[in-house]
Amino acid sequence: MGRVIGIDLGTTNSCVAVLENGQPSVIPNSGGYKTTPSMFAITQDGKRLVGHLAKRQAITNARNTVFAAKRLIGRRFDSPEVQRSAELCAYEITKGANDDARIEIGGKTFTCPEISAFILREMRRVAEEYLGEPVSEAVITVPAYFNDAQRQCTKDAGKIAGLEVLRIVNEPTAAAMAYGMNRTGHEKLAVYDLGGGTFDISVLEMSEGVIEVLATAGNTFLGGEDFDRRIVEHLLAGFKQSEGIDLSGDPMALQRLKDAAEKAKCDLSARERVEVNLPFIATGSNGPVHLSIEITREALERLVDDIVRGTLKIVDQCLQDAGLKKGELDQVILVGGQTRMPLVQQAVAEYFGKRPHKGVNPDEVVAVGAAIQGETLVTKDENLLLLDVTPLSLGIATFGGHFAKLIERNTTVPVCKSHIFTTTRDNQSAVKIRVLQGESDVAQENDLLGEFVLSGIRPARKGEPEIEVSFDIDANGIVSASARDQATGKEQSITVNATGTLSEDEIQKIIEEQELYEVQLKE
Amino acid sequence: MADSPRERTARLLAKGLELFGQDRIEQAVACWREVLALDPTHREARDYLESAGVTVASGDERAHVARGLALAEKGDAEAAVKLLAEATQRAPHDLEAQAAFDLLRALLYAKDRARVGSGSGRPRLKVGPEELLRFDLPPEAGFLLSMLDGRTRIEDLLTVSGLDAFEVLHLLVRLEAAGIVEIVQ
Repeated sequence: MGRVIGIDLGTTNSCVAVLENGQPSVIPNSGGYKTTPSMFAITQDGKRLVGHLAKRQAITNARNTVFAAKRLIGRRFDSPEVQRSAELCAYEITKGANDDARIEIGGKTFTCPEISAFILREMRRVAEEYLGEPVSEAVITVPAYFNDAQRQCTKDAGKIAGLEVLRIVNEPTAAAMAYGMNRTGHEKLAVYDLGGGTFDISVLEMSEGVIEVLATAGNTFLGGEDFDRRIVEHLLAGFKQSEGIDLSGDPMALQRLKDAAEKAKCDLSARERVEVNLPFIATGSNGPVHLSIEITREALERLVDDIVRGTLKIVDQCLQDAGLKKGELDQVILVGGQTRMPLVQQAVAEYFGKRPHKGVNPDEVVAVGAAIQGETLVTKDENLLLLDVTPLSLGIATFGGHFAKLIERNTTVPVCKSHIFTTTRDNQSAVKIRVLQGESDVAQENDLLGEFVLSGIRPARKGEPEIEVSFDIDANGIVSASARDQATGKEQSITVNATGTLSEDEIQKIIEEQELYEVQLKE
Repeated sequence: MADSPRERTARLLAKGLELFGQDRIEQAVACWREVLALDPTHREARDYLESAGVTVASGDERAHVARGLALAEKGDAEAAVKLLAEATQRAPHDLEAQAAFDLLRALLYAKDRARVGSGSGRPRLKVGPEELLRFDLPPEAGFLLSMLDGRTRIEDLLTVSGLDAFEVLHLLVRLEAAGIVEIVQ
């Protein structure tokens, strides 16, 4: 039996872990890094780059470098998140055949699961190199608020990458699992996750190894990269003031500034001041011009204070959803590299009135939790049962454009709920049902998961036929539906085709295309 | 008796116009190009070529190209490629200049590749930060130096720099020759 890997498929960075002799190991890539940038690029000469190599040319080859594809996966092209990404990203986002968001780089159009598959395949390769054996099974994490389409697309991505996805796990749940290993008490936790591109806050309850997500909230456009951007702007302004040169239109200079800003930010978590030195950044009238600007921790904190305070407003909302007060939480776990920043730790500590837990590595904890979950699934260890909740209410569109909730958000999954449908016309033989996820009472303001037609209804007066439609949300958070005519007992299976999900044929075609590329590369 | 240059120019201009009128554009362009070869500053020939959709280099640019080609013939490929790069930038449709430039780049690229070996070598800085500042380097060199970590292979550098592969390799070779960079095989 092969090993199961746990993959934290992040917006900005990804991480892979495995359990070895009962202990989690985070696997370093060939460069020695334990996280890999979730970036994919195609160079001018057609080479495909993943991870650090893609990141290093991200600004000089911006139009052909994909980052933060996780923000797009499983979303409709016209959704606000996709439209906002289209404004922020240099690469082109187009509308796909299923109204999904697709990415056009290097003269080729990719689906979002395909892009995520490039990252997952790289994580699989990293694991195989480390373990010295093939890997075919994985547990992949997703944000707790991911809807059905986003989860299904992530599963598709795993399949394209040659992985059987044993379970899709919520990121805060995975973090709590890593934290809760060998713990047996009853605790309420807050998982404050400030990553590179997103912020998530979740409130969980752990009891005798059972983990339940009570509520979750976040901002998909807030993360460490906003901190980097503020530093870059600070350096640009400082250089313009001292040298009179505007570097904002120079891609080479911007790439260097971005790299330097990220490094300075990390260094300032351990030191009070750093000097950013970028020799030969420009040419002036008297020859080469060098950038040399000192940044203090205090200055950095002033630059990003509003961002950090902004996260706490979201925490307020999450606690309100969970029906808890700050003081009722036993622990606060920090996840995501940006939580290493002293200002973030201090703000979180002040807000909750307690110091955050520091026993877990914020960059690795989610992958570790996923690896633990993988091991639990293959060994069928019932001591660590995982209990998640659905992050969004599930329901159907009803007459007048209203939304009827059938499964309320924060309901523990797996869950199955049934509803009786009937006809509105005499001898009506079919009914169209639109399945939605969201919280608005107005149907069209929620995410459309799919629609299906119940056909073959026996001829009868309107209101007479009773068709029981059951909605299932499995442990992965993925929705399926089935229907039964109560009078005849006749059953119909219904597939809910979510936005952007790929058919088996499409997945197979993509796998073949990627394999062909690999072969061409070797030749 | 052979035509005088003036007569020949007039004859070629007229022939070109005749061919142009018959929609034999390529032959017409060839005639007018011949005029420019005799007199690179000939305004009328330039106008005719432009009306045929052909962009031609100015007299200065032609002189630039000619100097570049002469340098290349003398074996000074480095100076030649610089002049031809400028000429092709100013007149991107000058086919002769472009061909000469491409050929020289290919020759220099092969030479540079032979110098750095298989491409699996890992360049790294050989001088300290203070010593580095004594050199007079362009921003491209600063950018390339910022990417050297001693672990990245030349082959990967060519890919990830986002710059033209020839420029990167040539810059790297010059940095090595100047003692700023060393390549660890």
